[in-house]
Amino acid sequence: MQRWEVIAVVTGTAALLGASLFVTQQLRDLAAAYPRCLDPTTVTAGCDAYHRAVGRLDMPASLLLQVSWAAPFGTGLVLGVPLVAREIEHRTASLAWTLSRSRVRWLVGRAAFVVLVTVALLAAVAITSELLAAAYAPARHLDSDFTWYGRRGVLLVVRGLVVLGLGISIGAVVGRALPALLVAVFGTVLLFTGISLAMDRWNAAEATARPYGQGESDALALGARIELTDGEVVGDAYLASLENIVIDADGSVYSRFDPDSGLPDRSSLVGRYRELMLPGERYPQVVARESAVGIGAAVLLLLAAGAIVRHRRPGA
Amino acid sequence: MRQAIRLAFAMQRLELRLLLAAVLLVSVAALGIAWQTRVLREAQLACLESAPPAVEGSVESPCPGQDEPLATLDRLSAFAKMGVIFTPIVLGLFLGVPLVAREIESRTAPLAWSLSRSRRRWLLQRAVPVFGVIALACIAVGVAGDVLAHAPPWVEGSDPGFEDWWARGPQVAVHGVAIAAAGMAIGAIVGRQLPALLLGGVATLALFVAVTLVDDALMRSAVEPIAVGPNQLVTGKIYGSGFRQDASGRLLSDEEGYALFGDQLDESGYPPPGYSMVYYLVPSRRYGEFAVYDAAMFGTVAAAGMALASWIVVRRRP
Repeated sequence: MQRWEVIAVVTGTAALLGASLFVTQQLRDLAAAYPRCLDPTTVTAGCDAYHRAVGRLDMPASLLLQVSWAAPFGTGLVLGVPLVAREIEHRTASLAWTLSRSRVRWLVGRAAFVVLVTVALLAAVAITSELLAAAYAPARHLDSDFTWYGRRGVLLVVRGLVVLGLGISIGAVVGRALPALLVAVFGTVLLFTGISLAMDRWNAAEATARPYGQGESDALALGARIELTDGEVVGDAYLASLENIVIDADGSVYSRFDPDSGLPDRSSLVGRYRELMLPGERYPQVVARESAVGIGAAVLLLLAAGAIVRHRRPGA
Repeated sequence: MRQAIRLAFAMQRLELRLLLAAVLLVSVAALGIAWQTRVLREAQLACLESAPPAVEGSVESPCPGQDEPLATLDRLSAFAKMGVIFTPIVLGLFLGVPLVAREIESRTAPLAWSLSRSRRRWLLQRAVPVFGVIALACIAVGVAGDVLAHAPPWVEGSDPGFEDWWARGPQVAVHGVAIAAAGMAIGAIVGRQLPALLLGGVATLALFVAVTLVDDALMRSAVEPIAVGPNQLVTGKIYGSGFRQDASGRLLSDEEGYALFGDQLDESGYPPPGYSMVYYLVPSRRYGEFAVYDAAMFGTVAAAGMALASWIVVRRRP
């Protein structure tokens, strides 16, 4: 029933895996040839050739990590949406549902296959994207680093399952493959915007406010705050309420200029600029948390699909 | 004819409603962002006139009341431009692909084709209203994209040149019709909607890559050396720079110029008297000419797609 979609998704994934492994191997070969040049924070003599060669691989490596980020959305939508929608659209649902012991049993049988395909393909993407990221940034410890968050690792599999559940549910409601695909794309954007905002809020509640320009590169940046002179911490939207803003190199925020010197008026100190960050060592915890939220959402969406299939009329 | 048009719309009612709502959203958003950008820019100019001089060594903003909202509008305008670029792609694929593919997939093609005087006439009656809607919707977003491209502060008194190349102007409509025609042909070949949509997506990507390469080759062949004075602004598609000896008109590369002038270059890199800085560029005034080339390429694809779809519908088994 889904031969074309499975072939399309497998072909796309194979192309992504092949390209990722090829770029990974090239980066590894370079790292092996220039072991002294891997730390980007130090300038080492004789490393120009290494930096030029890595620079040439910058674009493909970034692009492949970007495609890895998009892979769960494409896979989930292409495999999920037509699962029920096509049966309804072709008017074969009534026959298929009558022949099965129950509609839910029929759905479980059909969904199990696409869940397996989705997990297998996205697990492969998750692993290769981790390998690519590790080769791209060999000096970083990516198991405790938020760099390329959501473009590598287990989150890709979880997101794919969420989109798959959403696609199956929307397909079952709409009952026609193409309009359902359109609605599912809008639904995916809304759902993931909501999840992203909720996770940001959750993470921000546990983040620490670092002095201006002193955050680590492996941390998760969650916006800025102003620590007022009376100790109160407010959002950076507060700056828009000031008549003038001067932020010094040390992060001090002033609201007035001295008209004589043209320098900030020291008596107008508003507070200190702070960057809200979650340190890199919290990476596994944040990934586990978002994975749990994603798996919960996927289960709920699959249950919703079961309920829709159970109660809906088999005609479009 | 009216019945045929009504049927064409009834077959794709849900897609049309969703997509036209999205088109309306993109157009209104683009126009709204452009309008608010102009309003805030006026306020910012008034504020900057009365602000004290900048302070060296600090990140300062004398007009935060306008800076922050303008930056937000700039970020939002990027989304609106993406919307304009994707409108012809989404409309073309979602409305073009199912025109024939749905009839074949749902096995209604034999009945529909036998009821019509000819298969070609049937295709014409189904395709023309849908292609008309695609063209009109894309013209609307193209105009909105054009207004948005002229709104940023840096375009004041200038020309956006080749900026937002695929996100403005009437060629957006040509893109939409071309993608719909190609999608229709792929749908007629494959005979199933979703696989045809996926193939159509790949074909659209290939089409845009190919046209980008041809556009780039055409522009490179049209590059001309333009001499610019100190602090003079030039707009256009810039491919390189160099220097010119004014007396002889001899052109020097950047490397030759740096070797010849050394410390004589001023702070902005301008050469000593007797020489001018030169940009190798396609000037903004030639935007219209290249927009016509672009539209001609997509128009050819549209004509080929329609002819192929018609040929397949006439010949294929239903």
